[in-house]
Amino acid sequence: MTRSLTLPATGAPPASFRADLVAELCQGLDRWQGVFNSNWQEDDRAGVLSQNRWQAVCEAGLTALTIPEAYGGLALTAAELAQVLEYLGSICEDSGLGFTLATHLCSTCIPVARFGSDALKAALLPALAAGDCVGAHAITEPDSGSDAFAMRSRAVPGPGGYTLSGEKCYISSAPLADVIVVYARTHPDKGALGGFSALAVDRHLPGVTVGQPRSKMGLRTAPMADLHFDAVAVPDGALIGREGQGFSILDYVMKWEILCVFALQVGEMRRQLRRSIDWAKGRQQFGQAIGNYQAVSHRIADMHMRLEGAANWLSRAVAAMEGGGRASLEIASAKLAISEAHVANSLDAIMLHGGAGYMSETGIEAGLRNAVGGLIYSGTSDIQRNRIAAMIGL
Amino acid sequence: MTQIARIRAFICAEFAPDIQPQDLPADLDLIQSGIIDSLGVLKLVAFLEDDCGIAIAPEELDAELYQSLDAIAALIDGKTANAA
Ligand SMILES: Cc1cc2nc3c(=O)[nH]c(=O)nc-3n(C[C@H](O)[C@H](O)[C@H](O)COP(=O)(O)OP(=O)(O)OC[C@H]3O[C@@H](n4cnc5c(N)ncnc54)[C@H](O)[C@@H]3O)c2cc1C
Repeated sequence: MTRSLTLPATGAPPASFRADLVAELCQGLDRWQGVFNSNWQEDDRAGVLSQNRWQAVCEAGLTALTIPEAYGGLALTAAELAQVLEYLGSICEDSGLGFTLATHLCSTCIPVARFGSDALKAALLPALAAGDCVGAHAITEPDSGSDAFAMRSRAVPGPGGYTLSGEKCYISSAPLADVIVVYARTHPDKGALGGFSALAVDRHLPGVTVGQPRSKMGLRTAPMADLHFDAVAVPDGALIGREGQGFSILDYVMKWEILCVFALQVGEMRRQLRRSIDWAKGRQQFGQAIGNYQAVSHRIADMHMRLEGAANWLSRAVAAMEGGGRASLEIASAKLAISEAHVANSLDAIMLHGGAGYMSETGIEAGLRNAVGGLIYSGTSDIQRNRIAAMIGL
Repeated sequence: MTQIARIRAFICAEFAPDIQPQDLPADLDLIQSGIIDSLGVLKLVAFLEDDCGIAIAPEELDAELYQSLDAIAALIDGKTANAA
């Protein structure tokens, strides 16, 4: 594939952008493409993450992308990270793999690096960079999803640490994580602002139970489970930032999560469109290539428009993250626009491929199953619309 | 209008349409009184960043910093003093 198709997608890069580093990282990924893409459909069917492939992600240096240089990472900026992940999405067919990487980076690497104490950074960041330690985060509970700060999990402060109790559900990477950033109430009388904290919990502590892997519609190679915390003694040193800072940390983390996950998806949409164009040129019906029929060519034009709209929203979100302001609004808009564009394009890709598109072995139907998740996690489409409306003055 | 007067007007218009800006006590606890909730803090931060040109770091998304008009004024004063 030609890299020039992908690299300029996120618009004019800021002055700090290390174009050479980004190009080198993307080139380096090409050599892992074979490992990323071999037999992934089998893992998708079985609902497992391939150890091989995750190992390749670590060896390719992807787990170190956001870690500060002092701890063995590359300290990529938002713009650099978006380009590398978009490129990864465009060459890696195993979406669950990319999703697991994004979960690792955003759940744990990013908040520990930004808010963590020096001791916590020293304890976690080198292992997180190497991928020896895998991160996840636990916000959602059986009775609190969109209304995240209605959560009931408690971390009761005491001498030397916290006693953590509660239930968390739908936790991506829980089956493989070594450290889980758990959001819990630390102050019973305060609300979302000041009442909650983020703790980097060692999954091996007594009282932490990881449930059976959950079976789901898509992203089946990104393992997920529920978590139970039964009076877990979490040491003081596990606190990320200050007590009561949970809301700010989650707001920050969600912005990066949206940036990372949806940069991957813009890349996936590029791959999907390329494949659809190739198919429309090659598949013959009624004596000619189906791409000659306007119904088909217009569908491809629509896919292109949605993809480029999504890429534009991604650049706006990146610019806002790089200090351009309006980050809450731009990020919510990008999340909504890219997730919905991806679902629409994935359905079009299936239609274009006809029966072949519906068959698991082509990997095209998986695109739709994976994309649907994007309407739900990191704040549902409805929640993004609420936020957009609030931010534009309603 | 001074910056703090603009912020006062914004808070009343956005979150407390029944209160006239001049009637909003500078030391009123905006969070305890329910005028500003968590989404409200995000809206206020967006206003400070986009309309007042004040950069707010992720660490500064703390309830205490926006607890009252006095607190917000102190936050802004600290920033302009640092910038000077
Ligand atoms: C693939 C995947 C990965 C996930 N990974 C994680 C993870 O790693 N960690 C984690 O903590 N969680 C994770 N989640 C959970 C996810 O964050 C929640 O599912 C999501 O926030 C929605 O919460 P809910 O499922 O409780 O739905 P609900 O909040 O019950 O929503 C149900 C419906 O009501 C609508 N709704 C709710 N409130 C409003 C409102 N105020 N206005 C308008 N509509 C509203 C919603 O939009 C939705 O359509 C994951 C979910 C998925 C699907």
